[in-house]
Amino acid sequence: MTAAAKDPLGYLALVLHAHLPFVRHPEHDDFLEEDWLYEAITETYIPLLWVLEALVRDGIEFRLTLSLSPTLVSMLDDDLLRRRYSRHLDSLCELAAKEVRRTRHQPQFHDTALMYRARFEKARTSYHERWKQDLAGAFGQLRQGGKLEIITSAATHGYLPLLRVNPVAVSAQIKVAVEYHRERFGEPPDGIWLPECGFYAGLDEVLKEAGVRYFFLDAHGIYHADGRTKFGVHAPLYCRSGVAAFGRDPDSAKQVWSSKEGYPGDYDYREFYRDIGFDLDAEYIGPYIHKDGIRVNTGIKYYRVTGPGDGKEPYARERALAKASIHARNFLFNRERQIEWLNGWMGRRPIVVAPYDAELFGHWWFEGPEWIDFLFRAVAGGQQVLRPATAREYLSEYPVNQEEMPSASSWGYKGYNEVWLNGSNDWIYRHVHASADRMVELARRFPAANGLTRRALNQAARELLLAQASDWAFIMSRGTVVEYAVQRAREHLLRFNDLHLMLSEGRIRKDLLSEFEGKDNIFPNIDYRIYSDSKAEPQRPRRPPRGTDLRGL
Amino acid sequence: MEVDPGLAYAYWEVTPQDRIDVTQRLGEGATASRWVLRFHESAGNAAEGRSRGRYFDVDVDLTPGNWYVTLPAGGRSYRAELGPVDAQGHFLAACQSNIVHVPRQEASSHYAPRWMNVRVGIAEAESPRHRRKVPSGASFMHRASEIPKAGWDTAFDEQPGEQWSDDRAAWQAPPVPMIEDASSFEHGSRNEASPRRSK
Repeated sequence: MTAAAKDPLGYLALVLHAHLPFVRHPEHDDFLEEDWLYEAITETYIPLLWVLEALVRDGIEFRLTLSLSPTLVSMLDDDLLRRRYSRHLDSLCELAAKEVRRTRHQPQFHDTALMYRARFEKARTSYHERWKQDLAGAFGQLRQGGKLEIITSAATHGYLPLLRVNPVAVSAQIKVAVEYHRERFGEPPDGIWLPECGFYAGLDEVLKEAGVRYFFLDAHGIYHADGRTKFGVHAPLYCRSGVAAFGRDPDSAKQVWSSKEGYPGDYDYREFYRDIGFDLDAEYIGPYIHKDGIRVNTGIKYYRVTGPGDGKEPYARERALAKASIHARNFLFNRERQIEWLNGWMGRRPIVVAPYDAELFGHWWFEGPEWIDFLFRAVAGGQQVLRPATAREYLSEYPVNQEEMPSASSWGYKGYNEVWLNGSNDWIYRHVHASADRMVELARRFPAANGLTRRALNQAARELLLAQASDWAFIMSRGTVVEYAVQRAREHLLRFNDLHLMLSEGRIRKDLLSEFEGKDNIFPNIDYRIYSDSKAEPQRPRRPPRGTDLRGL
Repeated sequence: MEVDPGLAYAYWEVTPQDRIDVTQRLGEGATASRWVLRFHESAGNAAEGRSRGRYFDVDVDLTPGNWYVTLPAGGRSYRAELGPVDAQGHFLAACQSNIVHVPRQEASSHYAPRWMNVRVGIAEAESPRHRRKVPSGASFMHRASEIPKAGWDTAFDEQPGEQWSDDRAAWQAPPVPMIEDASSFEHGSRNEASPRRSK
């Protein structure tokens, strides 16, 4: 059976947020951090497309909300990055073929090697022949029939609570995102994934102005609302503006996200940290890691989690898939019990909102996409308790909801702003804020620019948006590739300052402008006048901008 | 900027000349003065930022250009001033901050639900229950001054209807979970699951 529950007791809203920072380095032939995109494409986005297309093909009733951040879509659409990904995929296929030969006398690894070879070759065929390298378009096609809803996120994933000293800057992050989504997918998004679920009172007005109907919050954003809520996270709240806030369900989050109790840590699943890029001899693996000899993940891993120590057993694919099936049915079982209980006292159908990072599925949790497949098939397999739904559908059925202002919150560690504002990254904000003030002033000073001036203004807007990306602060906070994140934040701020100086002095260097445009080519149709809203004044006391005071840079 | 309900971060730009000018304006008490961040609890309108009269001072060193300040409580709004205070307590603000709204750290004790009906003027909206087109909402009260742009109609249902009772005795919601330690399970995006962590 593939039918959905006819008269369900409640709804399950599975939400995946797909995002990567804008990483594109045409000045280098092989740039390490671009691998993030290639890994995510191979291990998450392509497997997810396979799963969704199979569900559609098999007539399985499902609903999925997918947030595609503008920076991710930009990279998926970029010709240079598509060419580089194709090269990456060719290299993977070659390596996988060599692995099949290398492991032919190692039965404990050989089946897994065969699996990778088949998988990468299928990815290559799908990418080139089926989707014509257009992955965003492939997702877009799946919206037909309403089974997949695609929403957006902020333009460059700026962490909005820490940008709000300049309301125009926040508005620009939203407006650019909505417009870009409309251009790319043919219609504006109904919903938005706020970066890191970062919300504050008043942000809903910005969303409403942009035509956005709903967003998502972590649970305490709902529970700590201005007034006590009747339904907790199991029905949306309306902000005063009428924009709806959907809260993350803690129970379903814990079952997947928890490093201690979540499914991905199961001993039968593939171990992420045993990659042949680190395990095999340098001479053999050399052509498939960074050309400078920096060892990187290849995506070919032969071990399973096994247990808490270093001793790892060989990966057994069939056993892992069997476990994924069990976990999917376990997840469904728990949601059924949960919804039965909620329906018993709510007096309406509850919605259980289960949002996750898309990259968890396939990249970190190799069997994740298959878990999604098993889950939707199990949901459609005859149970009558719940039905998958989107936020949009829930609002259609329940247009009347409690009005209460949610609390400022995020889904980051400790639930507020600490990840993006601490000793490792606080230096960014004085520069980002000052740059936003300067951008607003530029937009006012040049209300109708054209030619070279307009190009410079548009590029200044791009540099500002890229400087505002929450990813840099996040990486600094996590202590991973800090040097790269610092470099990126500095570069965009310095480029913005260069452009500001050129525009202020009325002397635009065409060569420098072209260089910036070539490197940071995001949002080709951006209009700098999004920063010319005279109604919204910066909250900070106005001071004359200090020329090139780049203390800390 | 607020870090969390108990901590704020402030940054400033005070040149050496600014420091001299402001300190001198203190007059006789200038030599014994120290610089503080004076946090005023803000009331009412965010734009006006009227002080409730309550404030506290935090001694700061101007050199770093920023400071983290422990806040007495969440669920409040603050505006800060930076300036010298002399031994007699005379304070002179050199500059003033934006207003920071610090979130509460627990559920509100206030329960008086109001119900809003948001009618979308788009007929394509589908009900997940019936998988068919649902007509736009029934008639409801408008606040004329709040009629929004085309495609949005919002109104408060003064009479919410039978299915949602305001009777507190009938409210059987579970207690609000105490989110004491969000790290008990890995929130959201980046604790383990991000390709950005792989390098």
